[in-house]
Amino acid sequence: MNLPYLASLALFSIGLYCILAKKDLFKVIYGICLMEFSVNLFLISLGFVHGGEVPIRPAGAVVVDPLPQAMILTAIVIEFATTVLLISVAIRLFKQYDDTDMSKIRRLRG
Amino acid sequence: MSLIIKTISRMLIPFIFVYAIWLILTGHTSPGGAFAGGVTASLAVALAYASFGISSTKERFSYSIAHMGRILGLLGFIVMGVIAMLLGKSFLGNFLPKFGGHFTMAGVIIVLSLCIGILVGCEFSLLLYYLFGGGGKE
Amino acid sequence: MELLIGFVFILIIASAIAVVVLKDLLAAALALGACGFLIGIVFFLMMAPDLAIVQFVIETLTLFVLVIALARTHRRSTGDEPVKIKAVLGIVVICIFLLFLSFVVPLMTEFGSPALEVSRHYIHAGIEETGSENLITSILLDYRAYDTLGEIIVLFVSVLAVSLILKKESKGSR
Repeated sequence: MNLPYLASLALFSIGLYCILAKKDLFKVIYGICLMEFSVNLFLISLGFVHGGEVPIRPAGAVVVDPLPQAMILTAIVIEFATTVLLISVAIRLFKQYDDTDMSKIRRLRG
Repeated sequence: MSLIIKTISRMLIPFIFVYAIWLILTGHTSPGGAFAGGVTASLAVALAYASFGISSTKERFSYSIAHMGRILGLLGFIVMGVIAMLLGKSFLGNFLPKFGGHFTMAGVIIVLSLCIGILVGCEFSLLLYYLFGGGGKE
Repeated sequence: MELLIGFVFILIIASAIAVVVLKDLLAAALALGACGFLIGIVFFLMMAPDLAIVQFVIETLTLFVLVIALARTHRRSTGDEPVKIKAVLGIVVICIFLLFLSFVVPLMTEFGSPALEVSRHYIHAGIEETGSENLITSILLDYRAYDTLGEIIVLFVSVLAVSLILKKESKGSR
């Protein structure tokens, strides 16, 4: 039963709904974070082997796949840099318009 | 921040730094590695910022030290790659001895781990300074 | 073990729904932190201790940055009722997305038995070729070191962008 794949798919859909339907800037940032979490979960579920062991000094022959884990390590660090960049844009918008509501920011133009 | 938080952070910050250096140096025999050590070092700087304020943190770990750490980390990484190319192997190949005596030496991986650990630690501390560093000198 | 992983997945989805539903921004940030820590536990249960360390520390840093940013923007709670038409459109888009994915999901490999084509070489010959016992470090810094260089460049560019966006304005250019 492919439960982890379905769970990461559900998490991705929840993040996508959060981006589409909310009008506060920080809620959009939370939605992007949820989508990135779901991608990391999906990648690590792809490499799991039943009864496998940690890929550090492997004693036996059944080892969990180490290649997706290396890719996710890169992805986690880049995700933090992206989130901090988005938060800095939100802080700058707040300093300019004194509100983080996206509908109000559009009305205050000019 | 209250006296309890300041006292406890003053005691904890050196231990977090030592743990970060241990993670970097034994990354090739234990779970850990370069990125875990780097982000833990920046976590120590974040704890210092939360407990003592931005000006005290900038006095000890100033902008110039952070910039120098970043630049030296990246330069070290690229220099190791170019040296490997000059010695005949591919870019960033492994040219240092791998097994020496009682312990594994892992070739060029230790040097690269040190470079990336210093780089990532200074990088994320600098991110915190740019985001929230209103006071203090530039 | 599988039961424990399934239970933690249910908790992750519950905290994700809490992030969407909660109106208070600070409470939603804490729910996001809980989600991230539970994902760290999933990484640990799926035999990846390196990833668990990095996920826990980065989740702490993200929570730190989020809470201070929320305090600086003076928005602890928001009247965040969703606009009805946007919510309906969001659900329609997600239904179309899931419809297209339902053609692909039955074709995927079974959970727990991946193909392991490239990693077979890394597992068998990794320790002798690179000299490091940690296979993930040997992949990141010897077999795929070029990708690590790309990641460092991405970090540099993001710090540059943050410093440009949040530059203090000088007196004359306001």
